[in-house]
Amino acid sequence: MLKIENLCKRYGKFQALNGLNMEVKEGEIYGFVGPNGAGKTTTIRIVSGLLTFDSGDIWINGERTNGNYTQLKSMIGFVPDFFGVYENLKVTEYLEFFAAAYGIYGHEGRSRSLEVLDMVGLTGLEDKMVDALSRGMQQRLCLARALVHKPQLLVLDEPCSGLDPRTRREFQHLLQRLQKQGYSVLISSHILSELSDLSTSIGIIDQGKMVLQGGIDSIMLSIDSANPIRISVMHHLKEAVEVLRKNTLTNRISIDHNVIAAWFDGSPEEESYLLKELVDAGVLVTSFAREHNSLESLFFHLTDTEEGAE
Amino acid sequence: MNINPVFEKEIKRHTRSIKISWIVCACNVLLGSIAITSFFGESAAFGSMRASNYSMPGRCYMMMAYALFAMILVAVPAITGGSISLERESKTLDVLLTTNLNPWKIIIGKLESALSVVFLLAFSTMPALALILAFGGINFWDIFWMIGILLVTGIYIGSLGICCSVVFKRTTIATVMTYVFVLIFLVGTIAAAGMGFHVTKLQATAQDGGMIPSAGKLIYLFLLNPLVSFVGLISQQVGNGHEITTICNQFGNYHKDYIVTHMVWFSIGTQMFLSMIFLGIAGRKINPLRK
Repeated sequence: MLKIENLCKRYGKFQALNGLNMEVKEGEIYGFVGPNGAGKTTTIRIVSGLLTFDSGDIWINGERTNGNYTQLKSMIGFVPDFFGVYENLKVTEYLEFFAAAYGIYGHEGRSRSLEVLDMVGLTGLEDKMVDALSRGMQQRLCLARALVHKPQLLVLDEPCSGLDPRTRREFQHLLQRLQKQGYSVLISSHILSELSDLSTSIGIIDQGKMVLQGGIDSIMLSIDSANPIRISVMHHLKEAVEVLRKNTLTNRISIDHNVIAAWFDGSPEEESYLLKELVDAGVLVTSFAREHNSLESLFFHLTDTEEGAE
Repeated sequence: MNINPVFEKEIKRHTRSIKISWIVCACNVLLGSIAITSFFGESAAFGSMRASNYSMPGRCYMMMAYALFAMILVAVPAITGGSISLERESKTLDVLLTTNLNPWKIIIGKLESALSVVFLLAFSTMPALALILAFGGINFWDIFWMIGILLVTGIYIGSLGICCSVVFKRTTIATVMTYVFVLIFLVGTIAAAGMGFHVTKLQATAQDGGMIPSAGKLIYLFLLNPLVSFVGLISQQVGNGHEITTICNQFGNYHKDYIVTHMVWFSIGTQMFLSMIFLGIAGRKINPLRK
């Protein structure tokens, strides 16, 4: 869907993007994270056609878009971090205005506006004044506005900032529904727990470079494999330790009362077999789970921030 | 042909805004007061049975036209001074720039909406102006030309306001700066020519004759003054048509100066040229993808 190769952008002496590479695949929600000043907003503004770049390539659907901003803009729906709405305009007039701004006029613009209102769950508010809507509804309207010209990629810059938890959750569900309808989404956010729930892929940028990107499941799995499996047993602690020591995939174990921490190099399937071995040996296992790393700890580790050092 | 979406949106917002209603109301009250004062004042002074003075409708028209001109000088900067900066402040400009609208279309849409206010003012005051048509001295074409010059002023001041709105980030500063520039064009140009004239007059006094005091080329600063083209037109309609040359000759001898004798047209040309420059600057500066 979107491929960025060796993207560079300099502001005076400051190198904002330093050979950035990233790829958003079709139909995925790509979480884009990085510390302040890492180059997230610069990347998003370049992709949205709001900023030029010094060198590199941007590909959308296999087509190189360098210099052709009209093509780029018609393929992208942009939702900024802070959005304003026009006073004295009705919801449909607001959407029809943006439809016309993309060259969709008259009846077609009207029907497309109603269609996107339905998509974001604002049907019935057509004649309401835009400035009378709640912030959550305005955010939905902003998303509807970004969808009005049928873009292929939605670019959202911190879309949930300032929303209450319930509205944020609703907005996440809305994005997931759009993903199921075939839209690709590039979303930047500082709320990492939210991104790990929502995203199918993740990219972590630091100092203008991509430090890690890939499918969220594979990334979480790869970082989790370094963590121990915590096994709580009721009785037969000795037997449990013996089983674990016999297993060639177990590197190390430590015991704290009835809880054993086992550093195990196996796959999730091999973990299941290990559990079966313990049960077969007569060990009463009350819990068996690998410790999980959060996206937040990974972020701190990769971007080497002060918080990470702590 | 489709209407510029920015213009359409602005029109909707303007017509629903109380600000425009107040401007139209103030303009009509002002022109109505002038008409009432002129007509009833004359009747009160000389009696209602007395034949009307022929010069009275002309004077009344002149006052109404200048009042309308003043209203446009006040209203257009108020509308255009915040046209882009307000979009920027309310964070809608970025969204607008990610659409297929190019910066020029956005700028032109904003200018069109400012001109629509000029039209609105001009046409809403038609009933008051029609009084003059009824009493004679002024015909329909005179009003048509007057509206034409008001439009030129609207384009000139509107373009200046849009340019200020792009250059200055804050709406308050942009609006104040637009008024400051309007004041410079209206008063500053005359003051500069006056100073030039007085300097040469002092030199002439010091040299004890032999030198004719004149503002010289500074008189061409009048070309920037929208009041000059308007006074020139009104003078052709209800005066002797030589008011501008007479005024210019207060600053030296310009009887044979081609530009001064055709000041109205040259002034209109200059205003249109400057409008294009203002719009050019605005369009270029608003474009995020400019090299």
